[in-house]
Amino acid sequence: MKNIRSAIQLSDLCFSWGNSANDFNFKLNNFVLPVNTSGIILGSSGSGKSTLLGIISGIIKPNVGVIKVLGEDLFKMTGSQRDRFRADNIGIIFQQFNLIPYLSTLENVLLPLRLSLKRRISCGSSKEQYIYEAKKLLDALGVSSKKFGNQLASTLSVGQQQRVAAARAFIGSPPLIIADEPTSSLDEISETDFLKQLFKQTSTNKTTLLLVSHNKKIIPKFNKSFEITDIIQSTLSQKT
Amino acid sequence: MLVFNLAYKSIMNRKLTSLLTIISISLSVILILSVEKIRKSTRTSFINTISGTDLVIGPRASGIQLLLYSVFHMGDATANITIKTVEDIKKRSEIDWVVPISLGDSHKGFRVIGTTNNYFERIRYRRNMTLKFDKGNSFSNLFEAVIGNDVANSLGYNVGDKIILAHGTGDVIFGKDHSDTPFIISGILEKTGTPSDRAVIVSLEAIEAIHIGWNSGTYDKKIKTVKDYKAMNLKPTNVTALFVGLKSRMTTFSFQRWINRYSQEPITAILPGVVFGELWSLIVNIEKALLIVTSMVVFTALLGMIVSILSSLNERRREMAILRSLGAKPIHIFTLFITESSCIAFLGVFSGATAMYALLFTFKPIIEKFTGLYIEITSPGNNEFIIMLIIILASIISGIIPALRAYSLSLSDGLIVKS
Repeated sequence: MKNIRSAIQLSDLCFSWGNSANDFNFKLNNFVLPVNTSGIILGSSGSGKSTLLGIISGIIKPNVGVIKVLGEDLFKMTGSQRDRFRADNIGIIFQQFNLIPYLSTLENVLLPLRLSLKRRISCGSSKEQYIYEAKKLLDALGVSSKKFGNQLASTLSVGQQQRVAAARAFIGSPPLIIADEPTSSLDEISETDFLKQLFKQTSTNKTTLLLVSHNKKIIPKFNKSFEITDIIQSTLSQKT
Repeated sequence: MLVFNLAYKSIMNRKLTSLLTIISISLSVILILSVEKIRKSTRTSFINTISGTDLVIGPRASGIQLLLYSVFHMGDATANITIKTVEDIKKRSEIDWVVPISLGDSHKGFRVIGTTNNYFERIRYRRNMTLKFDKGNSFSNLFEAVIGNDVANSLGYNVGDKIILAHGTGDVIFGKDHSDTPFIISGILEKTGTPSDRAVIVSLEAIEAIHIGWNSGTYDKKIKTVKDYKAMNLKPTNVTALFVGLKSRMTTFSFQRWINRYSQEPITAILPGVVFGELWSLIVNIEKALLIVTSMVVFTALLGMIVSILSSLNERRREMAILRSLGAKPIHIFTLFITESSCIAFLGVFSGATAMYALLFTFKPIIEKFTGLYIEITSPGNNEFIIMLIIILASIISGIIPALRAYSLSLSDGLIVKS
């Protein structure tokens, strides 16, 4: 295992994307998130945060720049290698609609294991162990696996769905969790509760967390905070 | 394995749409397979109209014409063969049996065939099946007739009923019928699905008898009673055509040559199978048209499948983004959609083929009874398998369209879906 100090290290990124109607320019000079820390990026939608998360998770490849995630240079990887890297190392939680509606709660949590050998191995060596691990995570995040485990994901409440999504992100202990406004569809009480459990998981698993939000109240809970406008210069101009 | 599992669960999740798509594909498969089945059966039953007859001999004419009036009782003969020629043919050593027929009269639109008693033994259909009597027996008296099953059914005749034959093949017209010589029905044939169903069969002598006194179209009545006719010891002077069986099939062509070179009278001999082939080739275009129409139905069903998958794509962009975030490659997304469409198509084809056979078993007796079309139930032949294979292949190919769309959407959407 390499000794890595920064979980995410981005510099001199440039990404532009355009079609006949719009031009989109994205520039980032420097962004570093050390390992085992929790970072929050504050910013509203349309500020380029989705592009940033896309680049870190390896779905978007910028035109130029340095992208080092967990010590690996994503810029040098092929698309397929980046997909593999993401499956192995990154858990992602979206704002909402995180689950495949036609799979059960447990099946949703187990999905990452089916796509990554590395995460499978870290859970154990048999199907029973995988299921045990998934149930443990669900229970820890406050969704009773006994009660909801076999229910279709689409029947769960929004709050429950976010917790299941978190369980899915954590299964197989990926070293990096990326969350894109995971609490914006929750009320304040659920939000606090959700974040509490999120932090509990990151500290037990020694996971680096990067969260994007527009809620300034939660800043104190994080080790590091960033304003998106400080990191990124992005422009969206309409052609005439 | 993940992809198969997802595809299965996704299909099950959209049960109604999937079921409707499967049904529409299976209906089209039922249609195309039954058209194929009926086409084959029609062809077989057409060719099996006559079986066991090596040659048909008639006055010189085109083979198709001879076959049409002798076997199918369609159209009229242009000339007759004299009885002397018949005797000459009978003397040949190659001959096993000869069944002469004499046409030209009718009964309420049904053709009358004058022939000999061995007609019922020699004229066979469908792989060597003989004509059997549903009721009664063959004719044994001069004025007795055997009628086909359709004749008995449509006119409500039974054994023992009296019928009057008409001169020519039109309806019975006053002054032009053989009302002085009524026939008693001696037997009714079983349904065969061949032209025999629509025939009234009498002896050659009877044909002779009813024409006595008829000269150049007018009737001069001199003889009154059946006894009188019998006393005359009637002998036919000519016949319309001959069905011939040879002792050895090896001699068919040499005997045909001999007939075609016969110098006393212009006559011709045909091999029924060969002429059936010529006749059927006239129908091939209709077959093609049928095939095109049914292919269009299949095409429409596949189009329906594409539309239903395409229209579900938008609501599934979220699902694709989730899978991508979990590390699924775009090719996984592509395979997921291809698998879904292939599963639906396979289920459609399989259930269609099964339903077709179930329908066939159920309706075979009814179809046979009402149309006389004998449908042989066999395990799917090469043609059927090729058709099913083509449909499955076509659906996989058409599944590529939504799959490609999903592929490109998942690439451009990435993790973001504007909902």
